[in-house]
Amino acid sequence: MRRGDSDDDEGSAPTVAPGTVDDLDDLAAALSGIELASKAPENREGSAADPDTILARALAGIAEDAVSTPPPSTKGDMPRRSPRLKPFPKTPAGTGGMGDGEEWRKPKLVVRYKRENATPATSAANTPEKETPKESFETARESFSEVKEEEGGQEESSPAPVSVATLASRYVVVKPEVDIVKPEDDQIEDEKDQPRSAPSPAIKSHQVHRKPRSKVKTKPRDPRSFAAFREMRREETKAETEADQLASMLEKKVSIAELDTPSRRGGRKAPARAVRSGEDVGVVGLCYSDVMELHEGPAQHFERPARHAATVARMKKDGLEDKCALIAAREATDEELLTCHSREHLAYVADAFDHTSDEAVQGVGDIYWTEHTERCARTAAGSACEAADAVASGTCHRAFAVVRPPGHHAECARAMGFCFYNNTAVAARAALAAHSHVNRVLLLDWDVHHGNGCVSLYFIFIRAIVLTACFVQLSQDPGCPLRRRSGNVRVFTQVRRGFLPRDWRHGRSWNRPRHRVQRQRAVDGEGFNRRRLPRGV
Amino acid sequence: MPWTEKGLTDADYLAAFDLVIDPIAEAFDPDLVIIAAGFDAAEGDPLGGMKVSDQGYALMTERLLQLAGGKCVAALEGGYGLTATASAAASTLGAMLGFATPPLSSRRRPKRSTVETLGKIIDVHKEKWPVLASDEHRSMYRATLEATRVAGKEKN
Repeated sequence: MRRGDSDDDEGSAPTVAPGTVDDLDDLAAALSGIELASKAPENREGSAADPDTILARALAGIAEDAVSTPPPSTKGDMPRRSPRLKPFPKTPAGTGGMGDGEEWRKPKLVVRYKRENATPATSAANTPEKETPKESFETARESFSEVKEEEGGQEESSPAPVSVATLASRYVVVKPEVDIVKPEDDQIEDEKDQPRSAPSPAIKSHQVHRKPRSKVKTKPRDPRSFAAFREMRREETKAETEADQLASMLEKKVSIAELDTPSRRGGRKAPARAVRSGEDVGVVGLCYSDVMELHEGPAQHFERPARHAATVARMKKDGLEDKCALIAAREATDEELLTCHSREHLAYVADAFDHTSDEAVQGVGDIYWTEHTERCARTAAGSACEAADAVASGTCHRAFAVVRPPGHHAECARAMGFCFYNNTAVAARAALAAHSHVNRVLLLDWDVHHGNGCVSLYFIFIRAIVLTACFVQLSQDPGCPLRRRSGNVRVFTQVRRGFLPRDWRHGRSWNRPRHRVQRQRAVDGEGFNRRRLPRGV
Repeated sequence: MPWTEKGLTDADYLAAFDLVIDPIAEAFDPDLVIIAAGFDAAEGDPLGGMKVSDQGYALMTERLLQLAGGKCVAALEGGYGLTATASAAASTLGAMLGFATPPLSSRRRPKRSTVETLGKIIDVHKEKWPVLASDEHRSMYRATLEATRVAGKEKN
């Protein structure tokens, strides 16, 4: 808005497209021609014929009234100026005028000015009134300076200047001339001073391609204003983000009760409570049991009963538990477990805890055993089975089983990574076995750690698919199925220690050249970090 | 998804859903979905090192609820930060109960490395899953890659 105003009033058109310059030139020429013709066509003709009379008229006109309309003939009488060129546009008082020489050197700017001036010029009557005394000062000064030059001693030039000199000598005597010239000089001084502090439009005009600095642009650049700007920007982005969310929610036809995202960062907020409209959620089952908290290991162990307790407490606190149908936890049967695990593994888990020992917690590394371990592991697998069964049979529409110990690392005949029985795999197979209409099960593991157990158990099982989302740490999870083309096979063999290639203990067995370098380094005793070796090797 | 770096966020996980999991899962058309819901990718987990928020988990759950007519079972797996696990599990259950989750802001974009990893996965699985080789999917992948590029510029 302000920008548009400035364009109109101050003549600060930002840019002229390169392609349009010629057209504008022509237009300006045409318009100036019209202007001149409307003012004083006879003068223009006369200027070519007799410059003396013109100058005389001009000087007389200035002497008589400087403020009134300037003699239009002066435009014609300057031999080195093209008729297309006009003095610089009227500038606000005090900002200085446009020097003639500058104008000459930079015709482009003149073109721009012409374009600006052309619009008022269409109403021909306005143009002469609009011209300020300053302009007339300029023209007068120019003619006068020429006169002075002639006086300086160039008498031997053409006859016309001589007569001009005589006219001028008369003119110098005239009083008003002093008044006219003086402000002009002041202005020149002003022009000299101003560029240092604040460049006037006239000086600015040297930089043709640069936009004249308008009031909007020249904000004080103090840090406070930047801070304010940053603050404003932050507000804007926040508003945009909210608008984003709102738009997409409206798109999804979601009834909005709360726009805040449930994030743990800013206070512990409950999840947004807007129920999606037009969707029948049905019964949602929730399965949990205190039995699973009995499996309690060393105090600092990550896999602790509090995980289960905290999760259930949170669900109760948020009021989610009330909305769910509770599913009774149970222990998994042998049949269910045998779909995924070997009989030896079941026996191993049952007998691993040494009742004769005094230690309440036994075991080394990530796996620990207590007297309740087997019961807990069975309950976890059984709860998952129960939840899957409830959903498959239609009792519930969806179900969540809060179970521990976890299971996705547990393989057919191996307990590892805090896991004993593979809860989800067992549940999937139990559902597949028990319900004829369930033919395909998608098992998705979004745990960070690679669900090697799920992958290995479903590697050759056609009816279910496993998608894992995992993070590979080379020291812990040597193979991730999607990492390489032969990944699945690699996983299948690597996790069984008996099948490990001999040099796997050196790390990346699949990269032979690198491995050789590494082994050589190990022999040399440099740059080899023993801690990178997998546990137990 | 063999993530190559830590500190991934909701946007990365949802990009994986967009580019790999959803197309394959839709093509597979399961009768039942079982989630091994380990919440150790949640922000604040001592082992995971990822930065998935409750919102991200809820959105992932919503994606999976689109499959198999909403028949979905989630079983807790990992997740070793008590509060993080609890709130993430609560938001997952909330999503199952039908609580709406605001979608991710368009400003949150996946990392470039993530999308490149997903591209490798797509290349590997293209033969078995023709969905991933379709023109539509390819253009979507390209668009996602472009989006990350823009995000990188903004960051710099």
